[in-house]
Amino acid sequence: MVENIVVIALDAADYALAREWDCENILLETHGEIETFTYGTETPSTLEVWPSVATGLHPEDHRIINENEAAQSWGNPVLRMGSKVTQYLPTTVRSTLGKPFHRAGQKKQFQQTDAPTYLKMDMYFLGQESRQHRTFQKPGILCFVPMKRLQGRNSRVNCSSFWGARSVGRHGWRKLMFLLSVFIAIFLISLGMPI
Amino acid sequence: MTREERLRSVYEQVDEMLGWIRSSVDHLVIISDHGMQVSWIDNKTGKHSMRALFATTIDDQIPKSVFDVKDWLEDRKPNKTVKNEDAGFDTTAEQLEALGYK
Repeated sequence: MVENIVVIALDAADYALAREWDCENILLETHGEIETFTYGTETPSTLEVWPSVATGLHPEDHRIINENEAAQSWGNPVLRMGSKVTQYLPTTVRSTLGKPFHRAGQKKQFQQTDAPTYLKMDMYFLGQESRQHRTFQKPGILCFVPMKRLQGRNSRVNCSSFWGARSVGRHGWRKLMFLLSVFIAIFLISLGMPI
Repeated sequence: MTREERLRSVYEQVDEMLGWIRSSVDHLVIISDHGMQVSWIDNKTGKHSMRALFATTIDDQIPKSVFDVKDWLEDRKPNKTVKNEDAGFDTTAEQLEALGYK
């Protein structure tokens, strides 16, 4: 068997809770709490920390910054300015205000970095109930990355149709098995239940 | 079901799934970016905690911080050739909104 390392990125997996509930497969043989950070937000931001995991860089260097709790920003600079002005309004109000611009074809963009890394991550949800299932029809797991062993074929693998532990389909498991055959696969699973 | 019970249920589901993966691979690494505040530890809920975790089947010292993970992984690759790619998110707006980001 080819030696591989599978890296599972568990969004919001709390070290204290994993220990409290004896999650032996989350903690594995060697485990510990590692330092994370806050930068653009009061508490650690998913949007900032994962790029730091992937690049080893602080947000000031990889430049993916979560300003005002916003994971994305309008491509149009005028709308970006308007979004800053309305940042303290309730989310529902801001969403309503944005709808006409969405319908008019304005798009929000995700921040990118050109910092060196071998990781490239998408995010999907695991453990959520039907609302999220209906929202993007592919809750569950994540994504990946890659690998030396796949160069020359697909330099990047995107498992966008994976399903969660209880609902993973046959197709999803086939993809997972394929990923486990590569050297490093990164799966991003969220434990941050909004409850 | 209480909040604690629901949260614990998710951890147990993920732990079970990871058990299957653990049995299928040579080495496994688990990383998190932060934890979640809970009432019985933090006296408040709903926000991210500073309790990020790192776990591995490899018998070795773990990284000190999230900034050290990349080098830790690269040092353990059989082939040190690294393919550079952007580290941006390809996630759609709908997916991020479901994660709580607006």
